Amino acid sequence: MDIAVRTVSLRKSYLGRGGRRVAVQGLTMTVPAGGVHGFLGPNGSGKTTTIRMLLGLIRPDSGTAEVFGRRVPKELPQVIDRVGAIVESPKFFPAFTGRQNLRLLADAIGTPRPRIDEVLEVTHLGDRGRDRYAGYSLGMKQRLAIAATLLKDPELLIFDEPTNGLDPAGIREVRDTMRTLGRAGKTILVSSHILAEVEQVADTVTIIGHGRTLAEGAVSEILGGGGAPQVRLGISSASQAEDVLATAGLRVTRDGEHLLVTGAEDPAEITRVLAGHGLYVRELTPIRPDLESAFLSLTADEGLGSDADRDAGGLATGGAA
Amino acid sequence: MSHTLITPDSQAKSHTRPKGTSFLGLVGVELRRLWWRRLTKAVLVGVVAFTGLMVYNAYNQSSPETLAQRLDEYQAMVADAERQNQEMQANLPTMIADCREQEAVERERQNDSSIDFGCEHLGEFQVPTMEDVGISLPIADTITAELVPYATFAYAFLVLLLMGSFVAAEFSTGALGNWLTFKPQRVRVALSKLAAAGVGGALAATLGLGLLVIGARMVATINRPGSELQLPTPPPLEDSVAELVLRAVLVVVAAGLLGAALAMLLRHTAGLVGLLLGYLVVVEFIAVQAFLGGRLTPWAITPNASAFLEKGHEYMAETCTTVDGNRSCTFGTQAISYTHGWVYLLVLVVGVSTAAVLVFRRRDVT
Repeated sequence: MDIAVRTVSLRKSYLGRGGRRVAVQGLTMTVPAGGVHGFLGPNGSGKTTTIRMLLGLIRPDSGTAEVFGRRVPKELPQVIDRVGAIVESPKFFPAFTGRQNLRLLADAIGTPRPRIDEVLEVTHLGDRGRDRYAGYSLGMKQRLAIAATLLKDPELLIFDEPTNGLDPAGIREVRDTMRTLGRAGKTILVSSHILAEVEQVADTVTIIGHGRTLAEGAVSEILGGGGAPQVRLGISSASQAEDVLATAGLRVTRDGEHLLVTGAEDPAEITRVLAGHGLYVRELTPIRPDLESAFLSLTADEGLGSDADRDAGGLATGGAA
Repeated sequence: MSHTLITPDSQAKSHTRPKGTSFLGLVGVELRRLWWRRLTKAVLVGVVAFTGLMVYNAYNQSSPETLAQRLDEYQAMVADAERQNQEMQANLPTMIADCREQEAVERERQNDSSIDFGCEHLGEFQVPTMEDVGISLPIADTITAELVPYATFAYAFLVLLLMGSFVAAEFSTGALGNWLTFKPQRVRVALSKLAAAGVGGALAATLGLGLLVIGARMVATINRPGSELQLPTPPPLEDSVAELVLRAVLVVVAAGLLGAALAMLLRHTAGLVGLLLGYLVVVEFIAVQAFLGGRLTPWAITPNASAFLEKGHEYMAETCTTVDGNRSCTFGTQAISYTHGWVYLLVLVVGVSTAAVLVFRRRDVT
């Protein structure tokens, strides 16, 4: 497996008013090349700090970070042309037009001018390129940032909370863009605190909390860790059905009017067993494990992902996504 | 609109990989950004306007009408002085006798025969020349040499603020983080910004001083008086105007570098403006004047810039000596040499710029 990004025991602390605060402590992460890698964690868990360290914007106190096998920040110049990034909200010169902002960046790396028009067209900013950046909507700013990353035609794209502040259409655009890039063989590292957003596009994920790695791997593996598949069952003779299913070796618990059945590899097995006893199902809903439950399970012992975190905008399930 | 911003068609058509940029190319990009800024245009307008005002003032000061009026005033002053002299000559023997008497009393009182009141010089009268009161033929080089120091300090102030804002804007907008994801070579990036600030400062100074030189020549030509106005030719300049203008450009370049370097350290235009005004008020206007009898002057910036620009700078300061345990102080004229001036400026600019690059290299960009 080719590795796009690897960090080992990465640590970063800041000196603030209340003393030294550790933002990232011993973070170890591996991002395979190709596909979309979700970087999940509540607000303040150290995602942006980690991304800034990967881009050489801040220096780690200790630990190592590599991008395409090159040590960061020392050897970053050797691979920077293969990396595009949007860290937090897009930041350009507000008094310049979108085109002027792109031209500065393109000239800085020696990208031919025609590429500026191409990336403006690609991001649907072709007719707004000569407008001042200060007048752009948030979605347009985000698209301009994506256009900037495309000036390099990078192999690794790092998006830090790319859908923050976007409307549902914008969120869908960004999500589909990430998916398309991932399918095209690019590596996308996307950080988010919106679990549903990442779950829909990511192939692999790293989940962090309090600056530490909590879990890492393929999404299916992480979800698989959430327990055996469950099915919610609606049936008129719930007590009788409970006995029948238990006799068939399935684990059954009550959930109000419904039954929660655990252990059936195929929901059809449940209907077949019940039908054999003259019991007919009114409702049968597979309960799919999701990243939210996986995350909550992982952070149960860490005191993370709690109500307090959610109240503070920490972990969100992202209805709009 | 498609739901996907990027499709397989969006791959680069024009090429695949950036070619990279040389250091000079990077300086060129920074200069382009500098040129695109509205503040740059405003400063250039300011430079042109200030130059125009100075040239206009020189034109007014040296117009034949003004010179004729000043000549009349001068002649009236000379006539008045000669009248006073004649009156004094009538009383001169009495005045000299009084003077000698007081001198003798003082010699006796102090038991010092070397005391000299200079009584023999009483009555010596010298009429100030037209050159002494600043009346002379308007010569282009002389006008230029008179205006350049004022222009230089004005340009330097404007360029310092412009270059400070040029660099600080990258921090305040957050665009620097974006920039560093394209060019992560911190030292190279910092040096390119300083180089652009220096080149930009040189261009602004060249514009202003070029206009000043042209304006001075136009004033000298337009205001050349007719034969009815007999004026003395001013003494030749000790220094060539070309060298003076070159030194003026270097002072403005130094200001540009200082502005950019300080902005790299402070990261805010407001901080830079505060530091600059604070320095001028607290150090140059208060501390240098009020403390140690002016002896701090050689360590302030503007006197050294003057010393470099005008090949020496004179200032008033207290000089104290102790003889036999008795300390006595006198105020007198002191000088900052040309060498002191350029060494001071060089150390200042190189020191602050080096500190800025080193800090920029290590500092976290958040």
